[in-house]
Amino acid sequence: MEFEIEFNGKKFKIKIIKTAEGTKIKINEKEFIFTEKEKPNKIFTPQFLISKKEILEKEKILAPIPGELGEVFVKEGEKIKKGQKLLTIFAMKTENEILAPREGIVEKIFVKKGEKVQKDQELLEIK
Amino acid sequence: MKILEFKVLESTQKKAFEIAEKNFEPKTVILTKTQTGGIGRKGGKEGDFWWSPEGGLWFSIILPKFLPEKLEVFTNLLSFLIAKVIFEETGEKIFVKFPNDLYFHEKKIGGVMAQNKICGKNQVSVAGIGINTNVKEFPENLKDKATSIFLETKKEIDNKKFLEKILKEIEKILLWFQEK
Repeated sequence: MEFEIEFNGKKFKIKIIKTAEGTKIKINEKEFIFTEKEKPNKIFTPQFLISKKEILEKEKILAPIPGELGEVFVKEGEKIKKGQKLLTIFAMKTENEILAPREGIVEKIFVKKGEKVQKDQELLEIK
Repeated sequence: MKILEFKVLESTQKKAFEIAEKNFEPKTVILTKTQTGGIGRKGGKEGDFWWSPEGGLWFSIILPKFLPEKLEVFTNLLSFLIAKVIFEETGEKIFVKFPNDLYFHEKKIGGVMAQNKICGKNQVSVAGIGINTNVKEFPENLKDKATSIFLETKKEIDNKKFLEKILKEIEKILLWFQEK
């Protein structure tokens, strides 16, 4: 059996062949043999099988608008939940509350209270 | 616009966000007769609450989604728009202390503000408006700083009609701001 799948823009050619040794699965150029008695000596987990949480990398939160930084509600190393208030930016009479886009840990805070920030300036990094 | 009316709220802004987070329906107006913790100049911090007794016009609007930069401009325009409506109703010129305070002679008569909650690509924006229309008295600490249309003109404002007029004007400017 041979088929091709596309996941997150990447193409995977998958070939499954029954051999005397066991079931051979070929994913792109990598081959794996699975037997009934023995465990496979190599475990390869294709990228698309890894949970979303595991593949999440560091993410920088950028200023959506220029303004003055109000309170910073989190600390470096702090665990944060999705939707948690991170900081505020004041522009004219508009208060912009920046919330965590996902759960994670605050890796680095680049700004401090009262600082003027530019649009797209890095505010903090979460992982 | 859809109007949700309340007797007492801590803050129309807070209520608007609560409502928007459950069911985002832009152009919903949250109107109350009184506020116990109306958000003022410093965002309600340091005990700086907007004096919001019965008689005034206190409301917030859940805004359609538009860019944060546009929200800032929208808020500034809102002050001028309200000054225009007060002028049309009373014939009195209102001074706009840029960006968001409204003054009748030397005393504050109203104000506008906007808050934006940004969570990744999601954004909820709420504009808040407070106008001292028929407020009959102010506490000692505000007597020299604030006034109302009633105290200055001795005319009672029909808050409902006044609100309708403001909302009509807001509808017009919202058309310029909404993303295509």
